[in-house]
Amino acid sequence: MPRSDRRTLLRGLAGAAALGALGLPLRRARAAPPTVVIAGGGFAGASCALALRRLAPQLRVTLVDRQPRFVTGPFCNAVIAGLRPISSITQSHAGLSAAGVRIVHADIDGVEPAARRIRLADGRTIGGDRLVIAPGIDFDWAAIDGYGPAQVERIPHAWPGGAEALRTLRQQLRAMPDNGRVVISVPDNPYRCPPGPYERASLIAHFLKQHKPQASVLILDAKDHFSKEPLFRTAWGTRYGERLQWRGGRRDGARVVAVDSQSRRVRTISGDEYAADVLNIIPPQRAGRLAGDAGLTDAAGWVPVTAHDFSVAGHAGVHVIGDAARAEPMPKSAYAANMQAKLCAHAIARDLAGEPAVETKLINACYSLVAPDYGISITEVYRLDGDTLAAIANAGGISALAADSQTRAAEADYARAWYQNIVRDSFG
Amino acid sequence: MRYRARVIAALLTVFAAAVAAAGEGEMLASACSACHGPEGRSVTGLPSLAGMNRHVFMDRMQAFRHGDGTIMNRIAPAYDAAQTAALADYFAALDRGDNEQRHAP
Ligand SMILES: Cc1cc2nc3c(=O)[nH]c(=O)nc-3n(C[C@H](O)[C@H](O)[C@H](O)COP(=O)(O)OP(=O)(O)OC[C@H]3O[C@@H](n4cnc5c(N)ncnc54)[C@H](O)[C@@H]3O)c2cc1C
Repeated sequence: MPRSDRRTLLRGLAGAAALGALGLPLRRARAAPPTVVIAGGGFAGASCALALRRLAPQLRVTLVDRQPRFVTGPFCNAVIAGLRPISSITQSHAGLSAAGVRIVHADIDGVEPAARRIRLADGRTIGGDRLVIAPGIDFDWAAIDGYGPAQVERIPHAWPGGAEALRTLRQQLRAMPDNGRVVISVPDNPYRCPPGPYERASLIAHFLKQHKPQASVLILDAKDHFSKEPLFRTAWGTRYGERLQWRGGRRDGARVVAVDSQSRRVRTISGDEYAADVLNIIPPQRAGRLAGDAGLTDAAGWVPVTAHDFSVAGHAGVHVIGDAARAEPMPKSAYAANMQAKLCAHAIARDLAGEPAVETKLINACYSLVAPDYGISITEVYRLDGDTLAAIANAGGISALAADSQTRAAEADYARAWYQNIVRDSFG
Repeated sequence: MRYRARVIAALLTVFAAAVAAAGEGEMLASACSACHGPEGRSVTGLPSLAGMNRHVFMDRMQAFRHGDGTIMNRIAPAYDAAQTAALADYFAALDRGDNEQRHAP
C-alpha cells in the first residue's frame, strides 16, 4: 500500500466527513478512502480491524501479524490439562479477510508513531491515517536468574507461548512420576490474565486427581492476594484438598528469584528451595517490544493511554490497545482487549467522520474453570472519567461465595459459550 | 437563500443527532457481544439479544438489577434507565440471525 501523502489524507477525510454528515457514500471519484494500519492481530488488533470494517466500510484497514495461526490464551489451561485439543483454541485471520481486512503475515521490525507507519522486517513499510498498535506482552527476562529464552523449551512459560509450549507442558504432566510435584511460579501484578495461574493450577490438580492421585501442585506466588481468591480457595478445599498448595509473597517469601533449569529447582526471595518434577515459570511482563522500542512505554513498561479512545498523548493518530496498554482498573484480558478495540474503532470511525465521541460504558468479564463442571467469574463495568477509567461502584464483583453445584456448572458452560462468541466477535 | 441555508443546517443537525444516538446504542451494546455474540447473535447457549422485544429486554434488565442471574446481576446495576432503553432499542431493531432465512426474498 502506498504511504498516503497529505493531500490524499485530506481528500480521504473530506470524503469520510461527507459520509458522516449525510449518511450517504458521497465519496468523489478517485478520492482515496482513509486508511488504518494495525500492528498485531491478536484479540485486540483483530477485534479493532473487524469493528472498523463493520462501522465504516469505506475505511481501508490493513492488519499485520507474524502468526497465521493464533493459539489463544483463553482455554489454553484446558488444553494443558488434556481437556480439549489445541485445534479448538487455534484461530486464523480468514474471517478478517472475508470481512475486507487486508492481512499481511510478516514480522514487524518496528512501528513509527510520528509517521504512523509499520516497518516490516523485510524493509517494506505500511502507513495509514491512523496507526493502532496491539502487540500484546513481552517478558522481563532479567527478572528471574537462570530463566530466559534459552530455557523456555525445557521449562515452558506457556503464557500461552504457542502450540509447542502447550504440547510440551501437557506432555511433561503426563510423563511425570505418579507421586511427583508441579511447581508454578506466579508474578506480581500487573500481568496478563490475573486469575489465569490459579485456573491453571486448578485444572492441573484436576488432571492429577484423575491420573496421578499421589501427585501435587504448589503455587509460589510473588503476591499476597490474588484474583477471585475466596472462590478459588473454597473450590480448592472441596475439590483438591492437600493436592493443591499456595505460598504467598510477603507471608511466605515465595517470590521466585532463581531457577536451575537442569535440576528443575527454584529458589525464592527468602532463600527457600523447591524441587519440581514439572516446572512452570510465568515471568513478569511488560508491553510487547514494539511499544517499548517506539518510546511509548512508562517506567513500568506499559503504554499510558487516554481512556476515551485509547490514543497515546503526544502522538496524534496513534492508539494502543490490549495487554500492552495501561488501562487500570481494567485487567489484561481477552475480554478487555476486545472491548478496548471496539471503543478505539468507534472513536476512530467517528473522528474520521467528523463526529464527536460518545459517552459509553465498558465491561470486562473473566471466567475461570476450577474443574470442567465448576466455573467462577469476575466482572466489572467501567465509565469514562475524564481521561481515565473508573469501575462503577454498585456493579461488578465475583460469583456468589455460597452457590450450589448447578450454578457452578452453569458458569462453566457460560465460560465455554463465551469463548465461542468472543472468538467470532474478534476474528469473524 | 439564507432561509435555505438555515433549513439545511437544521436538517444536518437533526441528522447528526440521529447518527450520534444510533452510535451510542451501538457502542454501549458492543460491550455485550463478547458473551452474547457479534451484533447480539449468539452461536451458543448464551441468549441472543438481536431482535429481542424491547419490553422483554427492559424487564430482564430490571430483574437482574433486583438480583436475578449469575453474572448479569453484577452487570445490570451499572446501567441507568436511559442507557437500558438505548440498549433495548438497539437490540430490538436488529435481525435475529435465525430469522434471516425467513426475511430473505
Ligand atoms: C493461561 C491464560 C489464560 C487466559 N484466559 C483468559 C480468559 O479466560 N479470558 C480472557 O478474557 N482472557 C484470558 N487470557 C488473556 C488473553 O490471552 C490476553 O489478554 C489477550 O490475548 C490480549 O490480547 P492482545 O491482542 O493485547 O495480545 P495478543 O493476543 O498476544 O496479540 C498480540 C499479537 O501481536 C503479534 N505481534 C507482536 N509483536 C509482533 C511483531 N514484532 N511482528 C508481528 N506480529 C507481532 C503477535 O503475533 C500476536 O498475535 C488468558 C491468558 C493466558 C496466558
